[in-house]
Amino acid sequence: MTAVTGAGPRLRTRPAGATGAHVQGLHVPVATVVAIALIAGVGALITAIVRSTHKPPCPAVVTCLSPGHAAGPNLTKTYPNNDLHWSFQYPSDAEKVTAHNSDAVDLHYETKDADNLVSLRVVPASQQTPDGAFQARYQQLAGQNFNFDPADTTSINRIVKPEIGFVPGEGNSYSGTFGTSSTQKQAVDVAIMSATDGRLTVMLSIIVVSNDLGVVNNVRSLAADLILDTFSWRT
Amino acid sequence: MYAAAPHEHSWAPHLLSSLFPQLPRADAGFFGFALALGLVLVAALGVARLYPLALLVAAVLLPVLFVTYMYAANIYESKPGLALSATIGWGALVGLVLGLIAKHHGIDFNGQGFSRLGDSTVVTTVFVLPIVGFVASVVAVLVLYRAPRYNEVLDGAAFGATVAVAITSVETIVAATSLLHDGFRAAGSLTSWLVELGEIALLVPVIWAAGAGLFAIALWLGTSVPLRERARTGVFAKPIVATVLGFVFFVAPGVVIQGFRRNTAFFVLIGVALVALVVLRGAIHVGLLEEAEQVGDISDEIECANCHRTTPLDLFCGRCGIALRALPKRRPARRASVPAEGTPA
Repeated sequence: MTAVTGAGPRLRTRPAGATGAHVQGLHVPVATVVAIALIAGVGALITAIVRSTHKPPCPAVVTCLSPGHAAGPNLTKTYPNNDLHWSFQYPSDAEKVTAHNSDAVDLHYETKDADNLVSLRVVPASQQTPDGAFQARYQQLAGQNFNFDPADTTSINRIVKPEIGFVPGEGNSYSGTFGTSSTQKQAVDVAIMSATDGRLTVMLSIIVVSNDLGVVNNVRSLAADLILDTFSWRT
Repeated sequence: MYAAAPHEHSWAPHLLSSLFPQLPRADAGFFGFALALGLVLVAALGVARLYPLALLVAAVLLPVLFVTYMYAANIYESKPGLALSATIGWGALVGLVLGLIAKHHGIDFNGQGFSRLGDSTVVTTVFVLPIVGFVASVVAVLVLYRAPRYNEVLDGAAFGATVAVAITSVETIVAATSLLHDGFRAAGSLTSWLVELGEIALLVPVIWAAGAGLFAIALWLGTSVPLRERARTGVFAKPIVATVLGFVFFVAPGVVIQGFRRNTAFFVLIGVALVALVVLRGAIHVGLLEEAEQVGDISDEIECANCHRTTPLDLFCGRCGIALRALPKRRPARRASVPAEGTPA
């Protein structure tokens, strides 16, 4: 039986109402789970293949440097600031000053897979306290799409005794992510330290593009230890 | 009463009867169980920090349920090729293209505020890609509309919803392929991932499904209802209104995620999804009522598949009130072997 609407396509009376679903009962959730498991299995296989072909961050940073490098940095340079009369040394064969002005300097330390960042900011102590410098850097990074986990108090990379140029200060280490998209987040580790000798307030942060404990430890040693140990508060 | 589920109010945002209106009540319960099971699996994978797998499962959950629904209700009327290729196939293809573009720009789940809506990257990911997704859904609906066998409002609603969830599913998966480099455990906090997984698994697909479904219903209604009688369909038979609503629903998730902070965006999206469900239900309800007006009296009796009681073969079950068109379609009967003349039976 059919009925004519008088306009548009004809509606035909279908044999309706007497038929239940063709998949009923527990067959529905079982079929759903099986289908999802199959798709997830394929996804897991693809993930495993991609992961096995993608070189992870180098666990022994030094050996991952380009062939011209020796087993450790053996060239150093001194970065001086003649306005406030401070300076530090850094491993110039592996680390480069990429930006600087009268009160701040950025250095990039390249590893095989990432470009890690060491930043210093030095201001007169009257302008900022160590805690203020610490918080300012933390908030600055948080506003730049860094997502911090709680401060690291347990791993080998935790900041136990923060010092800059052998002047005690404050500091913390954070794992987290960087990125504006959940699908392209980068794992990072950030350490922030600050200290004052009464004349200057210094803040140093190091961002390692990895959350592997060994990698972070290595990069911090090679990129920041020399700076921290050789920072001169008065040149 | 909601014509597809008389035990529910037509304006109550019930998820299952809105997305799967052609299921009898008992079967809808099992679909709900399947959906819940899928969400639990997503949450479990998220808690285990297997975020890439959790994202994959979240993205495919609703498309799998829609394909199961189309089979269960025989929506494609035993000719699955055209329907599945125009919905899942076309949706996957469009999703692949949109996903590659989104991957290039990055899907931003951390709201930067409404002031950033004018940035070129944000315009692409928040406005351009969803609008392209809606247009692609419309194309699929138009192709299926021209098939004479799919001449019911619920056919259009199912097809529109299926192609929309297929697009968003594949787009999300493709855009997230860079997670594979992190292996099975990607970076990120648990809470933020669980919120995003909820949006991927349920909220965004539901909103998109409603947008595309509304357009399809308006198309089916707008061309089947006599002009002199269109007033009683209200706005639901106006393709222009449905097109605007479709654009709004497709763009809304991106705007909300971009404009609000992370957790606030999640709750706002829930509100948008509820509104989308209510509007979709209204359209389905009006569509079923309108189809009832188009068919004359029928005088046979059947057993209603919803309440299993005898009812005249009318447009609505006389016992439970469900629209008989809001039930699975019958499959063609198998050909019985007919003995030749003179051959013993």
